[in-house]
This record gives sequence, C-alpha cells and structure tokens, in this order.
Amino acid sequence: MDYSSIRFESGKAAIYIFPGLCKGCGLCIEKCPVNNLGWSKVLGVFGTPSVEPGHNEKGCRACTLCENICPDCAIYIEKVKLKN
Amino acid sequence: MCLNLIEGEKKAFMNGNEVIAWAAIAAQADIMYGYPMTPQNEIMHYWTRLASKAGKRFLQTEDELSAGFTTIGGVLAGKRAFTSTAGPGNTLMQEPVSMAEMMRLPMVIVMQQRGGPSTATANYSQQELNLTCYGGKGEGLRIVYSTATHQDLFDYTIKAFNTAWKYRFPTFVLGDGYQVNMRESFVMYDPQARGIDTVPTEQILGKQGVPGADRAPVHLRNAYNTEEELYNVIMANAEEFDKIAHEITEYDEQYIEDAEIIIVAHGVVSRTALEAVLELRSKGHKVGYFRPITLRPFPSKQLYNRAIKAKTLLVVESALGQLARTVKDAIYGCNTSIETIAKPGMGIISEEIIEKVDIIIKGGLA
Amino acid sequence: MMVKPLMPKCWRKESKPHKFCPGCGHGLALKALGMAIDELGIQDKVVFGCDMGCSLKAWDFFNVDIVQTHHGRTTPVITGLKRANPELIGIAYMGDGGGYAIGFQHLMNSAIRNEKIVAIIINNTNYGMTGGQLAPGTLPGQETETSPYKRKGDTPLFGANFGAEECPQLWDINETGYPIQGPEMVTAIAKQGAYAARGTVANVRQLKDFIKKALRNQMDGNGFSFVEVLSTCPTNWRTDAKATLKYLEEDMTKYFKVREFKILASEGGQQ
Repeated sequence: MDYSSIRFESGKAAIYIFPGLCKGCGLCIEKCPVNNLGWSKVLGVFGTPSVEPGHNEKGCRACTLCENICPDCAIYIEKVKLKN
Repeated sequence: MCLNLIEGEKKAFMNGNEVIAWAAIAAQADIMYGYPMTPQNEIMHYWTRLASKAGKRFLQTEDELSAGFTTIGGVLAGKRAFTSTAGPGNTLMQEPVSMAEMMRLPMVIVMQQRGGPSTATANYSQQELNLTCYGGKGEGLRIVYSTATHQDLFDYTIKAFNTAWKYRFPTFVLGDGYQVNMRESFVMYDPQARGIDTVPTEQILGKQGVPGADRAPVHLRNAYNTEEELYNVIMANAEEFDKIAHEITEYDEQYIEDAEIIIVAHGVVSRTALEAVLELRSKGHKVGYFRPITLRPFPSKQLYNRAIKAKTLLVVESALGQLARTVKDAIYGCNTSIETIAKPGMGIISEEIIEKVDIIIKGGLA
Repeated sequence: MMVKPLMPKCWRKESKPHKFCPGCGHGLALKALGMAIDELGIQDKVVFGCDMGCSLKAWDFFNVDIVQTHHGRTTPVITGLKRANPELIGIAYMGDGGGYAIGFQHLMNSAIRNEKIVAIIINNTNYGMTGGQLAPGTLPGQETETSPYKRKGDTPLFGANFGAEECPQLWDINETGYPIQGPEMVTAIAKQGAYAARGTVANVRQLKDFIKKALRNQMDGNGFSFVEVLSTCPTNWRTDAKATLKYLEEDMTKYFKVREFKILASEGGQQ
C-alpha cells in the first residue's frame, strides 16, 4: 500500500490525491459540479491515469462530492479560508 | 432456571432419537438447529422439550442447507452446536459440511440413514455411507461414528462433541431408521461422573477486544486465489487428519484369532453379524467378527492384519457394496477373497448370514 | 505531517487499495458501512459474513471478525451465530444473486422469523464475479451475457436499441420475470420491529444513515434489518464513468425507489 499524496491548492480547498489508491474509474470527474477534476499524468495503482484538480478556471468549491463518491478513498479535501 | 437433567447413572428404556437428545444434553450441547426429515424428527421433538428445561436453545430452519449453515454460525460463536438429518437432508447437508471440512469447524451432525437414492423410503438403509464419509467436493476429512446399539448412540453422541472440538473436523454420528424406531435399554450417565472430560469450546469469532487494536482481526477463508494456496491448505489438513487418525479410529472384533471366515459389518447390521458368529461357533465353525466403529478414519490397518490370516471376508451391509468398496480399499494387497451380502435398503437377519457362510464352507473356500 | 486518506477507522488499511474493480460500488457501500460501525462504536462486537461472488472480496476489508461463507448461505451463518450468541452484532453481506436468487429462501425466512441480524444486499443488476449474467436485479431492457439481446420490457430504460426487433421472446420480461423488489417484499412479510430501506452508493451519507439505523435496530433487539444498496458495475455494464452514474442515478431509480420502507419503532414504525 502506498499512502503518499500529492497536494493541490485549488479555489477554496487544499486537495490531496493518493495515486496509490486511485484506480482511475473517473467517477469523481463526472461528479464534480464545476468540472475542476481531470486526468493527470501521474499513474494510479493500476497503471491508469490518476486524477488532478485545476481543469477549470475558478477552481474547487470544496463541496467534497468527489471525496464522497470515491470508492477507494483516494481524495481528501481540506477546506481553506479565502485570503481576502 | 436451568436443571441438571442427568445425575449419576440410571437405566433407561427409550427410542434411538430420544437417546440422542439425552446424550446431547449430557454432552453439554448448547444449541440445536434442525429441519424435519424422517426418521430423525424425534431428536428435535425431545430436544425442544429437554432444552427449555436445561436452558438450551433450538432453531427450526427453512431447510437442511440452513440447518447446516446455522450450525456453523453457532460453532463460530463458540457454542457446542449440532444438527441432525437423514436421507435427502444428508444430500443438502454436504454443502455446509464441506465448508466445515475446509475451515476446520467442529460441527456435529447426527445422521439417521433412510433408503436411497432420491426420496426412496423413510425407513432404513446403510446407503449413506459414501455420502457421509466422502460427500461434497473434497477429500472426506471428517469423522464418522457408526452406531449399533442405543448405548452406542448415547456414548458416541457425547464422544462426537468432544472429538469435534478436540480435533476440529466435522463429526458425524451415523445411525439408521431401525435404531431410531426401536426401543431398548441402555445406561444413561453424566460423563463427568465417569471421568470423561468435556473438551472446552472456543469462541472463534467476536473474541474480546477491538480487532486491529487489541488483537488481530479473525478473517476466515474458504476461497483461495491460486492452486498453491489451496494445495497447501488441503495438504496441511490431510496431514493433520492422518496424524490423529490412530487416536480416533475405533473397531470391535470378536472370535477373530483363529477365524478363517471374518464377517465384516457396521452399524445395526453388526449385531446380526455377531449373532450369526455365535451360532456358527456353536456348530464348530471358525468364524470371526469385525466391526469398524469409525468409518472415517477407517480401521484399515487393523482389518488388513486380520484379513491376511483369514481365507474369506464376508462383508454384510444394507447397501449395494458401499462398505465392501471401503473394505477392498483397506485390505489392498491381501489375497483373501471377499464375499458379500448386499441388500440396499433391506434389513438382514442372522439366518441369511449363516446360510451364506454354509455356502462358502461347502464351496471349499474355508 | 503526512496527510492520511480519509478512510473509516474500522477499515483495514493493510488491505487497501481494496480488491474491487475501478468504479465498483462495493467500495462505497463498505465505506458507508465502515462509517456506521465507527459512529456506533461497535467494531469489537461486529461479525461480518460475506457471500460468494464479488462480495467475497470484502473478506479482509475491515478490522472486524469476518467469515467467508458459501453462495447464498451468509444469512443462515449469521443467523446461527446470532442465535448462539446474541451479544454479537451480525452482518450478512451479499449481492443480489446471493440474496435474491440462490439464498432467497434463507433471506425471506430470516425476515419472517424476524432474526435479529442486518442483511445488506448489493444490487448491481448482474452477476459480476462470474462475468455479467442476468440477475434478479437486471432491469428491463438491460443487456447481459445471458440476455444478449437485452431483457425486453415495457419501460425503455437502457439505451436506444431497447426492445429491438431482433429481441427473441426468450428474453422478454414476460419470460424472465421482473426484477425483484427486495425491501418491498421484506416490508410485506416482516412484522414488528423490522427495518427495511433501499439506499444507493450515489448518496453515501444517506446510505450510512440507513445502515446505521439497521445496526441500531439489531442492537436494540427489535428485529430483522434489511438494506438494499443500488450499486455499480462498470466492468460488466461496459460503461464509462458518465454512463455508470447515469444508469445508477437515473435508470435504476426509476424502477428501484430509494427510500425507507419500514421505519424504526422509535420513529413511529409499526409495532
């Protein structure tokens, strides 16, 4: 098991992706209401692309729908306060 | 309030099923799971009456599959759990028993044989030997006691619980419809008073403590991914079974030292066989008696050592060669001839055996 | 500090990533179950039985005691365990094939006897482990390996070719029957104290609440608790993420209503 994560900052959230858990099913990409998630160049546990945020302009709204829908707990969302 | 139903020793006179219910109480069984199937129904009838007085439990299930699997559930909870069935129920029971065999679960099953195949008769046979010893897919790693008398039913039902929990293989008490329905006297006793220790049970699932923190979680498997994984499990179980076989194997032999003809029979038929032997001995014939009490593991070595000194084995059974096949397997390499009386689903009387022995003697074989 | 993945506490970390296919709903159902176990604090009391089929892959999923059973026989194993030791909390976990086909008599009789156990049925509308055959949950119009011309029905749910001309009568809904309505059936036969609900892996929070109520119902000794879970099988449905979610959220819920059918006594349920 590989529980190392990649941290992204996007919109209202710090998003942690765990490629060692991601099987590349893509459910999170479909669930994201602002189309922020997309395929990454980092490979997941099955050698398929894992996911990453940053695929829209406004970034993450921290709704955690992706975290909830992930069957493998490969996404962790940390809400962050806006700077202004 | 729970009553101690069996104190000291006393003579009793009852039918075979009632004996089993009393024996299960004496063995400190905790719970029975069952489904109606002639001829074992009265085990449930008597158990339900005794159980409520003795603080025991009972569940009537929807079929024998469920009876077997709920029994496994009871065993996993660490209780002395048992079930009983017969005939078509034996067929269904093989599925849970194969799981118990794979996972080394000490379930106890009382099997009262009736006619087969299919529905057949609800009366009597010895046709469930193959199924009970080798049923299911697997290698027959189970223990089978074949009883002949009501005393046997009492003794071996108690023993079955102890054997099962000591060695962790599914254990059968194999009776039949005749033993069930006849009444005879036997001595009922409290095993503790006779110095028979009750083998303690063990809670297999749901032990104390938080799994993963205080202790490792128990994850029991019966499915494996690779051939090697399965092979290792089966071979370890088989090795264990072979190692303990001599501690479990039981048989009875009489008039055997100088016997030229040995009558081999198990279960209720062995009583007829012994009667015939006594009669033939009184006429001066050198006839002996060998009765395997455990059909699994089978007393192969013991029978072989007797067979090699005899001229003929006469295998007598209420089935079409199920015991005979086991005997042939056991004495492989020995030139002693084998004769049979095989009457599937029929009772056998001593006159038939005497007649057959007379023919063998006249034929010059002995 | 290294950030840890947000897994239920009772999940066994050593067995993750788990053995289910990408996008499989089992992971989500087991996430909901894990959260429910955590919130009730019953990790040391739970005994989890898993059926054959894909459910089998949950055999080392949790840090709770687990037993693999035979296909369809999880309900009686857990029933027997609970009867022998009522202190334990028994969960029988199986698929729609295990619960509604081969193990149907066990499930229904346990419901009738009001066994104090929790039965969870993962309905992914096909036999996943064996390669995607027609199952009790297969919807009208759905294509499976044993209904290759689609299960023809009277409600067009699945794809444009629904009820195609070439569909032989063999797979007509009148020949193969309608999908089983499990919680509805349990509601019809189980009496005092039973609980029945249908959740979906599309709504894990709600599903967790249903499972939690089911577990609490058992802990209170009320009766049979039953939760069917609408789940996904992208591997055998041959769907991508978009189509998987559409089928789960739109098509399946047209036939399988997501709600509680028999509520707890404490919430006004029939006693």
